[in-house]
Amino acid sequence: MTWRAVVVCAGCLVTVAGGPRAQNETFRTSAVVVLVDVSVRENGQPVSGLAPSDFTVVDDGRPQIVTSVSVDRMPIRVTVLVDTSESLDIYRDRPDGPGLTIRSRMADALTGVAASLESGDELQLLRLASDVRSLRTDADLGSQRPVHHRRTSLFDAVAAILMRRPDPVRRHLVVAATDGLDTSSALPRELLNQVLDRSEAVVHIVSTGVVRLASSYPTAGFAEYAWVLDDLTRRSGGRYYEVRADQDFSPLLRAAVEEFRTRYVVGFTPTGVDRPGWHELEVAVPGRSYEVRHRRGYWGG
Amino acid sequence: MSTVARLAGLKLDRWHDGLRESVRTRPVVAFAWGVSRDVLVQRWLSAQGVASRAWRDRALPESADSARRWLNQAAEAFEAARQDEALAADATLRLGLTTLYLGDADEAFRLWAAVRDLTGDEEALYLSHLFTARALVVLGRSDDAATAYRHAAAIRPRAQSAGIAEAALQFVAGEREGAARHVDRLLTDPAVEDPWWRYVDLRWPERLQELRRAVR
Repeated sequence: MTWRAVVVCAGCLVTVAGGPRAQNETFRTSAVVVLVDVSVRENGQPVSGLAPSDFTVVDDGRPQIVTSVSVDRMPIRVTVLVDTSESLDIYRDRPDGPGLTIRSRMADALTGVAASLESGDELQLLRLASDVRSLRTDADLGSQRPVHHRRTSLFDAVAAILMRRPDPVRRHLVVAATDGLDTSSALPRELLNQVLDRSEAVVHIVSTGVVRLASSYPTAGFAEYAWVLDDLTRRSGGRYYEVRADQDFSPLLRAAVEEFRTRYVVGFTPTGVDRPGWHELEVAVPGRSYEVRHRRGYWGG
Repeated sequence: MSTVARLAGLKLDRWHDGLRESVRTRPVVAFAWGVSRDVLVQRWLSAQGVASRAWRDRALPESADSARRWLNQAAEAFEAARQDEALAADATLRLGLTTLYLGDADEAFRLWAAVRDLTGDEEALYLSHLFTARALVVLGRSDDAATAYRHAAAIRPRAQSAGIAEAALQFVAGEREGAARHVDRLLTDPAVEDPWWRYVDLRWPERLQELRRAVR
């Protein structure tokens, strides 16, 4: 039987007959191990020392047997996406504004991430406005002003990043720093969700603006927008952070990268479920009040 | 200055008898009024994250009375503006999106096809294909959507609004290498003005001066 195995979570590999394979490879076997990238925290701190017997996994409503748990410290690729849209300039110039500049936001993001990188890790940098652009260095930011920077296409940018070629030896973390509302993405939300569900990356979003927007325009639905961002990140197993506009969020990013390194990779062989299609996953650590976060599911078949 | 602020400057921020009469008799005012309603709806939909779900379910949420009112006002205004030859293509384009959000996808498709008969303007043609593709995605017609995205991309090859979506359809279909190559080009090639950005920004900001004079 020929069917396609799908990587489940960030940087994870689908293992067949004991050997790791690249994602989306076609297998001629029925023995597939699904690997789920799981964050376990208590009071905001990673929890270590958990064994297979500590976890439960439910695949499409069917309890599964956890066959492996590891906390391999693999190299990582961190993609930093920084909002450089016009609104940052606007708030910089306001007398009551937090004095932000695009450069300072970039510095916050890069400082937080770069301090966490280790040998073998990779850093990618992109800027976001109406469009999204890949930058070679942060110096490019000055020389590559957006063609049109009035708007913010956050969702389009996240989708574009997730579709880039995965690195077979690095787990992938995406950190997007934005100051507010997505105002110009053209990608239908359904399609964004499908990309998220098939991607291996974990997506964190740090927003400095939604709280301000929600208080300024209580009837415009901005409070609900925070839910949209939270939903997007949860779908990938990531987190949504709201910070004050004048807050240096580099410590937060540093902690997020470190937490990403210490995630568990929980393995199981799906039994009692149909292979093709979407599989809803529930991973838990019973009997503990830990915060467990993981991808919502995976595509099989 | 934001689009909404500019429109507020046109004194189109409130519905009143004088404006109602102007919308009926002056297509350019109707168009501006419709855009101002459209902007409010788009912002609301974006914030709610329900843009496509709303029309797919053939109804906006019951709590969205304001959005529904704005949509109906926009539809009425764009219908009036279509009577002016100079505004017909753009008003029809926008009427299509409004109609979609009000729940009539078939009529929206018909309107966007009509745009292609009304004008040879590249931006309008690009947008008619882009909007058609987006609606087809939500209807689950991925192959037709990919074709429509390709039509848009043929007009403006490096525009990201169609390009990223076209790559996403490839990615979802399992053609990951093709999608990755496509995206890499979009992220690194020299940027171009995307008709979609200009659309959400009123498409022709320079026309505001003309509208302002007309309203006064």
